[in-house]
Amino acid sequence: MDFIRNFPFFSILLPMISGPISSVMSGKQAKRLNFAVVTLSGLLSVAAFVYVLNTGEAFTYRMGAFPAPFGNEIRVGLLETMMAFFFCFVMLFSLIGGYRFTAVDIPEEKQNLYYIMMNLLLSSLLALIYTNDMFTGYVFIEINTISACGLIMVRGWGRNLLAAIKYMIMSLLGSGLVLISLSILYGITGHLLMEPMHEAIVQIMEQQTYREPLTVAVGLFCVGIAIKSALFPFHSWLPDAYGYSTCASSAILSSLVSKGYIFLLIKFFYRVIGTDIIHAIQVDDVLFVFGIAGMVFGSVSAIQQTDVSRMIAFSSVAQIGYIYMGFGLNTEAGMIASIFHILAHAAGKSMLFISLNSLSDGTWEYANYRKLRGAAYRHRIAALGFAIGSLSMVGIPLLAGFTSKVYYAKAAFGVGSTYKMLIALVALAISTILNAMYFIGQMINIYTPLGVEPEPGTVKHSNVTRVAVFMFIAVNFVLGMGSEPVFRWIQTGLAQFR
Amino acid sequence: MSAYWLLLPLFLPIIGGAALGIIKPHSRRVMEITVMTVTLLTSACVALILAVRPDGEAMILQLAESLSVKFFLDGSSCVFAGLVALLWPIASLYAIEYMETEDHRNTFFAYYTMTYGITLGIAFSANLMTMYMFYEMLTLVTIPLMMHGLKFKAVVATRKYVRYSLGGAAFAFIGFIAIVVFGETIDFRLGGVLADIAGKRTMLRIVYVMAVLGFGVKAAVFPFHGWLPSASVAPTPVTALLHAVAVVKAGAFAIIRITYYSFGTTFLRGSWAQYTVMGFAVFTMVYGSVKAVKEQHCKRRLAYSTVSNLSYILFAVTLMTEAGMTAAYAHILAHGLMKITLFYCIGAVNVKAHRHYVWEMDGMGRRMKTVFIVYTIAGLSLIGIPPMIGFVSKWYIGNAAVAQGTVYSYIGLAALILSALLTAAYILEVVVRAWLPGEQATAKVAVKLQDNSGEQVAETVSTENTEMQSAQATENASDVQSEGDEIRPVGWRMRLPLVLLATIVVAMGIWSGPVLRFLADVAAGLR
Repeated sequence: MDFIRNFPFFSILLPMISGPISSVMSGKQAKRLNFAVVTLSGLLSVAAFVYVLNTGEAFTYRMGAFPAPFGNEIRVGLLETMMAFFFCFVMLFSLIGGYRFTAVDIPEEKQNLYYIMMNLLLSSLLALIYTNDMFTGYVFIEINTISACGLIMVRGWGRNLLAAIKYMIMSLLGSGLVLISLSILYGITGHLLMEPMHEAIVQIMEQQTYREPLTVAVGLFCVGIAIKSALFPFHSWLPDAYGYSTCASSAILSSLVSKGYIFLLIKFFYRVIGTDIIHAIQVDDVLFVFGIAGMVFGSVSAIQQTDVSRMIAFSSVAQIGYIYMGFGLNTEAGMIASIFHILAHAAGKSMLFISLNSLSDGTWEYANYRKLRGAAYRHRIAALGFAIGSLSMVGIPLLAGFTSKVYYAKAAFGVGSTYKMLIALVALAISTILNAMYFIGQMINIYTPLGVEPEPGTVKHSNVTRVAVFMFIAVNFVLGMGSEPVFRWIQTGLAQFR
Repeated sequence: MSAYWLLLPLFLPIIGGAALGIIKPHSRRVMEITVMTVTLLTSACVALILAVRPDGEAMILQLAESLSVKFFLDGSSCVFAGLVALLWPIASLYAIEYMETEDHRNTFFAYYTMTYGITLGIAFSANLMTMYMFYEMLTLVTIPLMMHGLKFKAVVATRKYVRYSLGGAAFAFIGFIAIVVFGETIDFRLGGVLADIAGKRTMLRIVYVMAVLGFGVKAAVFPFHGWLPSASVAPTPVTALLHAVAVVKAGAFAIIRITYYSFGTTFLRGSWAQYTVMGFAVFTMVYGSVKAVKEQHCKRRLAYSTVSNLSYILFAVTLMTEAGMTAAYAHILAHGLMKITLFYCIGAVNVKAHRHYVWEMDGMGRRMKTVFIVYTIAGLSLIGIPPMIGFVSKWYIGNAAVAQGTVYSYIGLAALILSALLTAAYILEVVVRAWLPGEQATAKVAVKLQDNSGEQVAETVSTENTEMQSAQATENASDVQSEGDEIRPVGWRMRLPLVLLATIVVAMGIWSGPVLRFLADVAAGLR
């Protein structure tokens, strides 16, 4: 066995161990350790990615080398390693971009706690990506929830506490549903590892026994994940949680946390249930409807906001809607489009949050759109980041958002049912109009000169923020102009799921 | 000559404009010379390229499988690029004098020049991807131009424009992806590129209608025309060049491209899709003219006239014959020339005499002779009086409609004639008021203000006030504001464009043969 096969496991373990270690460190040391760990995990993921790319096939890694029904496994394929790397990358640059605000928003003595949460979050995200065992998946869902709660709460203001409580309640409801679903599935299949579960489920479908419990289980799982990832009717916790947290938390929560759950859902569809069965029990149609609703209503809510950070948060609801709409199409092309959109959205949304915080000085009163007028002349790089992010969300060519829109539209044309096709296409167009209404409106607002010198901000701008914004701009352009290899990797990765 | 030479006129203004925006020269002279040099050089390049006609394609970017950014020059590109290249230097010259008293001139001219490059990008696009990309960019690059005044109205109008335009593009996008999925290629090929469409005809026709209405937003088709009259708050060089030529013609041009070069007329001719789209065009023809007759604000009146005239083009396009395409291009050229001239005349009156409404034009003819002689010529041409160019293009549209010979095309022809009558009403009112001796304009305003009710009054007053304030701020208070009736002389940089344009309008009407033969060849795919 090549030593490199251990790397994904190390990348999970490393942040998990460094979390407790951080508790005895000072804030500064904890920060350094955390940055190092995120970088290292990213590098390990790249190595694993290159390895999988060269060997051309996924491998299963047994913890402690126990054979299948007993041991705990992680599974390493092209898609997993790619996602792991991308998550580490986004997390690193979100932390870098938000560092200034982290230092201001969080009391000195609590800083190391913040980085403990960050380490645990990374560990759980990577575990959600790699896991081959549904129960492990559940455990890390919980760890993810707890650490995300910490990230929301850490600023310690009243609104944050309220947001954290809301998040906690909704999220635990979601976890509860997932747990019930897994119990039912364990009951009818007798397994928790993905492959044996899948075999058992195929048999169940053939014999037509336990068909109803299976449907219920799948439904509960989807609803659970939908609550946790803020699909349309379950999104009430999101705007507070994303809108009022400190900069780095907002960026990471919006671009990564919900995506970890969604990735687990993709694995659940492909590796546990199978897309044919998903279609047979019509879960895809349900997701399609809610996805479309999210695309439209998320944006409608975003338009009504006067607070721009809440506006961006609501736009996440719409983007999550896109992702579920892709699942709902239930074709390979739709799934690829959704996975690509996860990347595009992460790259755009984290940049938007960092830019907005730089423009508004990380304060709530300045995030109001009236206060933001002319802010572009206070911090030009951040304004550029905001503009590029907005244009990407609207789907202007050359940017990541355009490419994912193209993939979605192509996927929609590939769907058998003409109604579904036209609904998806029209929803895509309407959602684009709504996106343009608030994002371009905000962009114009920010670039409207006031005629007077803007007030200088209280938070000193550092080159570090600029570097982060530039990195995200670069990612947006790379995903927009060179999407071909990424597309192929996603395709291969999905093929390896079977 | 390699096709890569196309990139030169495309990027020259973009880079030149960007440089102007970044460097922001303090001296006005330097800025003006830069703008004129860049614009003239670009036009010279375009002229050279049109003469030499480089073959092949210039590929610059591969976005994803089958989505590439590439340029070429075919007959249609020649027509649009030629029109734009002819008008841009004239427009820049006019703009320099018009913007004399405004702030933020550097930024304005930076974007004005960049828009030139992007419009050429639409003309030179070799496939749908490229065209869509430049189409979106055109929307974005014109935002600062429309917002230039930074008054509340300008911001509101800009927001409306952006929403309409990006929204339209979002629906056009569906058509674009349909071609990506169902076409052999996304390149433009006369006759269409659809292949393997058995069982998908109805769906594709729905998509075609969506795409035409999507691109039709920029071409101001009826339910989506609202942004164009509002947009007339922008400075006249923008309204004239962009909202009568570059932006709106880009919409019409895009519709020609998807109809004749992507979906293909054989697939569409005789189907419900054709008649639906034609219905929209025919209705807009009359609707735009009616609204223009009602409108009392000169620039908005011309904007409604543009709405109507753009639908002449779309009606010709939707005939889906060679003759229809020829007529469409003829009217693109003719309307571009005539409408920019009319706007420039009104702009000159606005900026030199501070008069904006129709009733204020009483007796202005004698006080601004050149301007109103040119206005009369261009106006008569727009009505369609021989021997001017407007007659020629309308004649061709009529001919194409008769040659089609269906009930729908005859309805269109009737609408065309009705609209021409209305055109005479709204154009001649201004002409008559200007040339016949009239009362003092100021007295008239007071009467009108009493007569009208509600919004119009408020609007009039606010416009008057803001104009006065801005005039006060920028002028030496004594000379203009004493009576509100002083007229500043029209400088050569305004006079020359006006005279040039009027000459072209007449000359092209009289010697229309070569141009129309060229257009017919383009429609037949010979060039």
